[in-house]
Amino acid sequence: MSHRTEWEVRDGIGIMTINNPPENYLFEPEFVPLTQLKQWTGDPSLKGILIHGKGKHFSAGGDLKRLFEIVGSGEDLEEKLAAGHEVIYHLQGTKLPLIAAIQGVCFGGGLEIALACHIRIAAENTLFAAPESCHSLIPGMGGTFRIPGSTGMAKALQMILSGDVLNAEEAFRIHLVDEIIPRKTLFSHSLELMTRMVKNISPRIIRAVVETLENANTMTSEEAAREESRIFCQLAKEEYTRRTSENK
Amino acid sequence: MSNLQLNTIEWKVDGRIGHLIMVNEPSNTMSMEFFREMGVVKDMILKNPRLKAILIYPRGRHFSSGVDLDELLREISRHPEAEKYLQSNYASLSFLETLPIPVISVITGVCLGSALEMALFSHFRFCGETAVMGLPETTFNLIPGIGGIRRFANLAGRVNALDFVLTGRTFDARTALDLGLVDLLIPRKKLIEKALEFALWLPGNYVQEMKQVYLKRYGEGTYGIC
Repeated sequence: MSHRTEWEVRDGIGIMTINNPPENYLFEPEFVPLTQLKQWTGDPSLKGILIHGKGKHFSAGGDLKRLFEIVGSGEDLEEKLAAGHEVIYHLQGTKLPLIAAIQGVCFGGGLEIALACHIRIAAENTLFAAPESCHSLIPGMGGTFRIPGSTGMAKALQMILSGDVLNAEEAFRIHLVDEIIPRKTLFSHSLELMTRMVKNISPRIIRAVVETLENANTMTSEEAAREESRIFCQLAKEEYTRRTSENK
Repeated sequence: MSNLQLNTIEWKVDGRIGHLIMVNEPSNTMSMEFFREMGVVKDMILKNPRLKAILIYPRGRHFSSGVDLDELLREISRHPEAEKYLQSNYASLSFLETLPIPVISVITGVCLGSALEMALFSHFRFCGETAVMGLPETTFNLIPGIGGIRRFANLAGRVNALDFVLTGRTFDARTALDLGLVDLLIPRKKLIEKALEFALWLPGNYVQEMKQVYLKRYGEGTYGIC
């Protein structure tokens, strides 16, 4: 068993557990096989995805020993990193709300997974770091652009160059996380937030909202406005058909 | 001619302040006619280089309850170029955001859906203490269609945008202030007076990026920038 990520669905919410305790090191950059992930997320009734770590830690990131083993054995590391990227892009491509419930250690690749989520909720005891530069490496799974995306360039440079460990409070201050709450209620609080957001609307509308919100980040405002109009028109036509057929 | 009396909007220029008054009482439903008339007012605004500021407010108690949903759904289903039609609605409001002069919305009573989207295109929002706001579109199987998600996220953050848009729940003036969606809470009866005072107070060389500085100086009662 080389991949250690589990999946469970509760009331339409997919719960992904990074399961390699105690530190939940990522055995491979592709921390869940893409084919497996596609199967899990292919469920059209899915309304959101919550990612957390088994036990006391979110994830300590890539396993350095394993990483250098890969390089030493002549396997193609670049290809493996690309596979890791693809997993993250696939998660984002579901256009479902992604929440990371984070506690304990959230380093390197673990941080990069958390940063791919829309909402990051951290327990008071969480520690964050991008320690790659201490090992003469750089963040390899999106950290170089997702850290500054959240914190701005100045804080991202400090964090990546120094490899310093930040506590939850500091991470909150630089906008790395959105909320800090007591460790004991981390999971239930995160699940409740997701449930509250998605319980009364259909997966179709959820995906439309998330897509529109993301477009605002990735497109010019003119493009985003055009896309918004296109999506709105589709939904309006569907709603009109539904209403007129109900009235017959 | 700088004043204009339309069916849903009254536009008048007093001194150098433009007043855009919504007069389709009681709820100022944003109909096709409203968007068409906004287009007319937009042209008048763009052609008037003497304007110093624009105030947007309702004649009655309520800012607006948003679009006429039945009409909009029918129109989009029939319209051969529905997306363009929607974009023209968008353009009749979004120009407010990029105007070089301050645009101040006075939110009172109910301000929902596209009405809140219009207010979010303004540069400043003065809010009555009893106002109620929200983007309830998802509860009708739709999404906010006039830039509301983007503006909400810019002002209140992505998390709040997701939360409030997905649930579609309404919120009060205090919450809007805490979220950063409105700038000032003011007793309802003094709203327009205060907004006008602020518009006159703002410097002639206004730049939108200095919004927070203006609000701070105004709050302190100092006139620092000219």
